Amino acid sequence: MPPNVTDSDPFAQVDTLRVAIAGAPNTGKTTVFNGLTGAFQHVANFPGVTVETKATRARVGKRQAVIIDLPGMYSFTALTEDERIARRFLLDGGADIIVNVVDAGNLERNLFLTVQLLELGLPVVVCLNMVDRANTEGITIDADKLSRLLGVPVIPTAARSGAGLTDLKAALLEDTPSLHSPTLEVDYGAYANPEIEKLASIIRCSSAYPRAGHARFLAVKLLEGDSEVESELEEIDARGELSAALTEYRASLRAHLGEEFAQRLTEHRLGYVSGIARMVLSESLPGAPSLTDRIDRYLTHPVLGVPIFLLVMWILFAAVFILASPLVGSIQAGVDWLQAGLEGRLGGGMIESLALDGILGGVGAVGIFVPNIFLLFLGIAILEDSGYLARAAFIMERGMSRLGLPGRAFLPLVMGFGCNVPAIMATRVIGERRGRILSILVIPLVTCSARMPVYILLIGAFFPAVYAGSILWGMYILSAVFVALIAKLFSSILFKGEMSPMILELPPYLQPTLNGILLHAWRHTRHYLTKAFTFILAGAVIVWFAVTFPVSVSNAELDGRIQAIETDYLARIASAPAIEKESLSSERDEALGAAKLDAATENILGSLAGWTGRILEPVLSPLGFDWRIGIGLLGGVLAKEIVISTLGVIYNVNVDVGSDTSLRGALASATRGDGAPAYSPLTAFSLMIFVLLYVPCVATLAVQRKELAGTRWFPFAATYTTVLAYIVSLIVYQGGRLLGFA
Amino acid sequence: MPPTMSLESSCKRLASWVAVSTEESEICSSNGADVSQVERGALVPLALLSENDTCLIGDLRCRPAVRSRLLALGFRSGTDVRLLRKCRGGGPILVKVGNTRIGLARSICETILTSPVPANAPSFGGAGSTNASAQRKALIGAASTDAAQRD
Repeated sequence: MPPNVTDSDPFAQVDTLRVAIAGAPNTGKTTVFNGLTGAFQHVANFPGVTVETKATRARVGKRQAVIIDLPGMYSFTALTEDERIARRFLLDGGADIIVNVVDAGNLERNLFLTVQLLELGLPVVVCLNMVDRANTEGITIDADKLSRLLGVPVIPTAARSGAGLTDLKAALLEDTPSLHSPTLEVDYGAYANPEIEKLASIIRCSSAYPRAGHARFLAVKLLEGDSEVESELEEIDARGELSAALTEYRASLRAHLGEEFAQRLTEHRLGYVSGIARMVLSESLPGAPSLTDRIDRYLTHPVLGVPIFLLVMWILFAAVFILASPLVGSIQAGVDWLQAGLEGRLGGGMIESLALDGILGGVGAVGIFVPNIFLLFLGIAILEDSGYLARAAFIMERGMSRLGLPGRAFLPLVMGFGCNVPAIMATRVIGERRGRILSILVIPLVTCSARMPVYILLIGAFFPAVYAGSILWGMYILSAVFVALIAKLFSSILFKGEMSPMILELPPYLQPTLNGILLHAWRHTRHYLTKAFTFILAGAVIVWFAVTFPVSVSNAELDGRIQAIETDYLARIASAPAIEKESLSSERDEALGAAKLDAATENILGSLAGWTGRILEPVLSPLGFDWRIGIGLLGGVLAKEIVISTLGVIYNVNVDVGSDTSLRGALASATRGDGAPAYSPLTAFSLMIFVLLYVPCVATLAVQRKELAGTRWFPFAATYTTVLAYIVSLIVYQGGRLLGFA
Repeated sequence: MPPTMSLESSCKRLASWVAVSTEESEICSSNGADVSQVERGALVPLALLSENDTCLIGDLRCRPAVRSRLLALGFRSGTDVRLLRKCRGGGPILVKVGNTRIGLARSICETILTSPVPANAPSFGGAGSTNASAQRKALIGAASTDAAQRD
């Protein structure tokens, strides 16, 4: 069982039924999964577009069950990491029962996998899905006959409307003997059969091999030239017995069946599948071109396709901003209300400061963006579920291949605008290793939703409101430009040679179900919320501690200074003539304010963060950044949003002096030691570019490390972005100064 | 190659594969080895067809991993394939095989060899599918006769 399932599988008890859902992509597996598990159940593991094994607990009849949604697989020959995960899971016997979802409209093609599952001797229930759709296309299937031919239950369903799911659940509970030992042996011909049997018995005899039960199937795969099975079996083949036998049998097959004997074996299976399909299928002639073909005339149009795609993306981003803004405003108001309401009620002092400035300030600064995140993922879910994203990948293939990226990388790149973490996991749909590594390297340059708050803050503080929208859009364009440039650079220097060519199924257009897209968006939002309450909370607390300790000016000392000023003025005011009393008292207030500010600044400068920031300052000042931004950027490694919350924590201390109490105002009016403005629009622009490009957050680094395991690319991936950010920001800031901006 | 021959050989091939005994749920095949190959001369790479052309898949000359994926997607010799969209400048090609739409990079289309739809069938406009369906009927006929004989 793959580790990711074991980890998140606290309910793997003895009597729990483990149900795995397997099938080709676009057969409605996820809809069946949602149908079996019920709506908003917690799904363990990372919520991606089925990029990882998803598991959830559910009740099937009276039994507890764990339902596992495996990534889509076309056959047991795994081309992509996704398929390797599914294949390994099935071979390792991770499930008690397998629901093989089959698209009734593409029966023959789908049965290819079904037959392989049965050859493996796995307990399978066939879920003949989308029968309603097939019927409207004039396809009818004799499910009973199919069940007799395959020797396993076949349940017709239409999971989108929920039809047949009750029967499916019943079938899962039925104690059919055939489920425990389905016997299906494809006949590979008079020459191959004995060789397969001999090879299988060698595998069976090797007691070290845990999958001896699948011996016959593995023997066939070996003869077909499946390199993964071969390398797996090599490990247990200490005496070289197996490889010797394999060489011998391959030679014998080559002699009898010709050079392409492997293909002959596959053809036997295809013929078998084809025969079954013909016997259960009746098709009437298709009439007019289907709706999908008519829509595709426009959406895949050689000239119109790309402009339509850009328009769709523009609508998506515009909707994310326009629809979310009232919600963002009200959440902000709620956080402010809470902060104001709690002030002074937590006993003042350190605890209150930690709770209000550290925790509420930090998490609040990030939490207000939840509506944007939800809408962004809702939009991506609609594009994906409707089938449009596959078209987008198709029309962008030419451009992508010019950059040296595989066409399939397109979908992960678009997902990167939401969050880089699922985007990197989604690269598992890319078959080829080089293309996948290249995609993982460049995805952090896609500006994720966590970087958006930083842009919004800086744009608001330093640029006229009329240009705000265009500048934000420009940051997205800039991000795309960097992805293109770096991909082109890396593919021509580091990854020379052709990328593996695209083979991409374009599913029929479907109206996304409300339930489906809400679930999709909710799973991602949930992840974001989890992040806000773990990473970002921890980050905010760490930053608070770093900014607060060691204390240079203690509260008692500050009280003493205040006391001294007050006593001083009290005496002077008392002795001054009445006419000067008023000016003296306002002078006193100013002196008090200045004393508080000095103490706060001393505190930050003397703190751990201030110390670190000042070490960084000489390195960062050529980019226009001071020690405070240095601390913010350091915090941003935990999560990009922390750049803001860190600046929030730093400036919160000072804001009661300024007239504008918001962070935006504080940044705009911040000064250096000599009283000159600390930041200019040029600094802000340089900072935005740095935030766009520099080292991704720890969550992204962690997933990069995991996905690049076994390659030597991770150290490079983790460092090149910061080098790039430094160079580009340096050019922008110094170039801008030479041109007279500043 | 006369069209009837390819049809006939496909039927034979299927009949041999589809010898089904339903009771045992076991399907036997014997002469998978002597499946006749489509003659090389008549084959045209998919990449050379134009939009709306329909052809029969002849041979897949790609590397094994790609071939096995194409087979799993339904690109089997004798299946009809329709070219829906051909992007310009060496861009990808959108085809329909069976009931599935598949986008293929141009380089793959150069390795998929097709044979023209038999001459007696009219050109596309339902024609490709008529031909395919005729073929299919013949195949089903052959298969069920065979099964009946076994019963």
